[in-house]
Amino acid sequence: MPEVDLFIPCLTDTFHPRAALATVAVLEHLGVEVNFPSDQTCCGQAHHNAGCAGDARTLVRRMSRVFTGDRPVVTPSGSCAAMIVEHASGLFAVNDPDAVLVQSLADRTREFSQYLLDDLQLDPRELGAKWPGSSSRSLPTPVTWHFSCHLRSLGGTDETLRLLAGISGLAVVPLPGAERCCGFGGAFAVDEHAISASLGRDKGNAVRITGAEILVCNDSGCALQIAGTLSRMGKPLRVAHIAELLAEALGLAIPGEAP
Amino acid sequence: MTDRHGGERARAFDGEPTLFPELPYHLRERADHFLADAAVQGFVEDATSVKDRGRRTACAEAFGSRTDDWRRHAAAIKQHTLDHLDHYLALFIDRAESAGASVHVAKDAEEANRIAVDIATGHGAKLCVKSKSMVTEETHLLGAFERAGIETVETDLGEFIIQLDRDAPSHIVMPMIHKDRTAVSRAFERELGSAYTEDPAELTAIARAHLRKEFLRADLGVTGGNFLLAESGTLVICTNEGNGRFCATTPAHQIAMVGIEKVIPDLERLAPFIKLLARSATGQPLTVYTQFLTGPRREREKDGPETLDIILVDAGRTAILANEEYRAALRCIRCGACQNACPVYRKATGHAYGSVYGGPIGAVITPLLKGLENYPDLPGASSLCGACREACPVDIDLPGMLISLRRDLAVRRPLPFSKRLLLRAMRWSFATPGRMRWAQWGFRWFARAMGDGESIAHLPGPGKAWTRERNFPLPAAETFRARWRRVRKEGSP
Repeated sequence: MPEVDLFIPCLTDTFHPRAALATVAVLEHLGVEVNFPSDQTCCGQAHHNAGCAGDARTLVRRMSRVFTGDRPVVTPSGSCAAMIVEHASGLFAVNDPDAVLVQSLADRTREFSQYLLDDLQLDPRELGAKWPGSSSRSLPTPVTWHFSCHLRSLGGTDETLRLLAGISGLAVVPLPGAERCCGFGGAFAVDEHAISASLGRDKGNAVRITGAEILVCNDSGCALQIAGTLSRMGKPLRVAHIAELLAEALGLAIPGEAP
Repeated sequence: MTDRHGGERARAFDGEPTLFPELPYHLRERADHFLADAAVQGFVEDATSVKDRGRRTACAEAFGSRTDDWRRHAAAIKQHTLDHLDHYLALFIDRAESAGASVHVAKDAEEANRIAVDIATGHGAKLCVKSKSMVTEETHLLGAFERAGIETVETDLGEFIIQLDRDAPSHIVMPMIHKDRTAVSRAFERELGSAYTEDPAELTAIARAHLRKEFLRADLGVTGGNFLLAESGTLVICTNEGNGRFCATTPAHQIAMVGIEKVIPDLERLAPFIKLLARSATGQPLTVYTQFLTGPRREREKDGPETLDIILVDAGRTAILANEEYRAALRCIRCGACQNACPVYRKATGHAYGSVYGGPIGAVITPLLKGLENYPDLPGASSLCGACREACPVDIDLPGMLISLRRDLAVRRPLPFSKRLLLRAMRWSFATPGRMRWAQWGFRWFARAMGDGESIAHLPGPGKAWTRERNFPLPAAETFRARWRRVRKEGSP
């Protein structure tokens, strides 16, 4: 039985805990034993991107000491996975006593969808996932998907689409300009707010054009930007993580939620 | 000064303040203006989208799944040359001079212009035809020539129109990306006295007829150079309109101004760049003209300049070279692919960067060439989406360099107070899970007080910038960590 350590980034924990709970539910459904090291806090991405290398190093160091061992570290965020996989090691000198730990963490860190498809070699079509309320006679529920930039930087391509294809009763509508940034960018969203908000509106309009009822978005930062923009446009829409859709389609109980 | 079309040219060049603003320069001085200009937004969006798609298609067709291998191969060649630039530069100078060219080295823009003006006046040059070159934009050679009384005509169509309009280029490859065809028609009607037309063929014919006369009249041609081949002392120029070739063949004298980072070892090592340059820039398999110039005209040759002067320009490049963290930025072959791919460039548009180079490469090299304290906003003008890195044919880690520049800036001067406070609060909170819990509790209390049950429409302080045009979603009622503790303690799944 595979075992993983779960890393839940601060934004997911604060804004989208249901995505994290659904991640656990799906992993456990697939026979994965999930450990949640309770001492974890944050990967330091905000500090790294702001140029505060020292603070980022402190937080990465802390994280590398929390996630020791040899289990894969799975996280439902492409952005925070990218911080660890792509940037963490670069913050440490080769002779730093924790450099090996940090490299080990980077080597073991997996974004959720990539873990399911690449590590578990899951075939989504064999999941038997069925969207609640759908039937062969009803029209499928239209959904679209935001391809977050940091998932792409991790080498991600169509993982989310492949997972969605495994859920019957959903129809995936392609998002125009899917490869384009939503404009979040952390501090950028505030520092260059006019540019950021304009990019957000472009994305919001693209989402609306699809006619989708649900936007699948696997990064909390992007979700804040897109949901906040759609809300201001007066056109709110359900924004959900792929893990939530999988959990619902598999009829899994979300821990702490009434079934 | 009165120009030859009878127009008053009070300032040497009105485009100058656009690319050479008062320093320190702040991006928002212009970004907000261009963001509100629907016409410019449309032109830039359309042109960059077409070229970005063109690049993807052309690279996929030529390289398939091996696009990254080609990019890395080209990057390795350029990096090797930069790592041994002293050797290759010396070799280039030696071989170019053996072939009959005169090679000059200029430490900065002023010296480069002075050398060029001295050469031009030495030949008694009256009319100069000039092809497109970014380094001459950097040194602002056009202004220097006009001040020295050497009439100069930009012969690249885009640059020609920019010159007629006393405007400034806003894209590395498409200098007039911020204008459309009607602007060309108006400029031609006003400056050349031609009948107003929006027909591209007619417009091209007007430019061609006008420029052809200038080419034949000119006694000096100024070009840039895309590559310098060290082994043979060859200057390589890649152009699409044929004007570059004209500038280097018809006039009696030629000056080529080239950045010192343009050297590569030899002809064989040029091949991957020729494959990548046009595909990355415009989606073409090749530029229409790829010209190899080794020395001036030889005795038995029919055309080419009697003299060829090559000015190698440093202007801040050796400082970048000396810093291993940023050296790779000098690999840039000025294809503009990062600009076409960049969401921020598309919104802010080129002139908002306040320098010759806009977009991601500009946000990196402008602070390095002109001083980080002079362009403090540029490193932050990126969502770090990575589209530039993916597009770059020489695999420059532009987002990584932007982060490093942010770090350098934070060391030199403190971040704005509110940002510093927030980052400190976050660092403090993330030191232990207990503190994180308290911080989340405090934030949730604050957010719920600000919100209307759905989201927050007005945040105070630095958050105001977020909620000006967007709402801010409310945090969840219970964090994952809290629920996990509760559920696992109760023993339910």
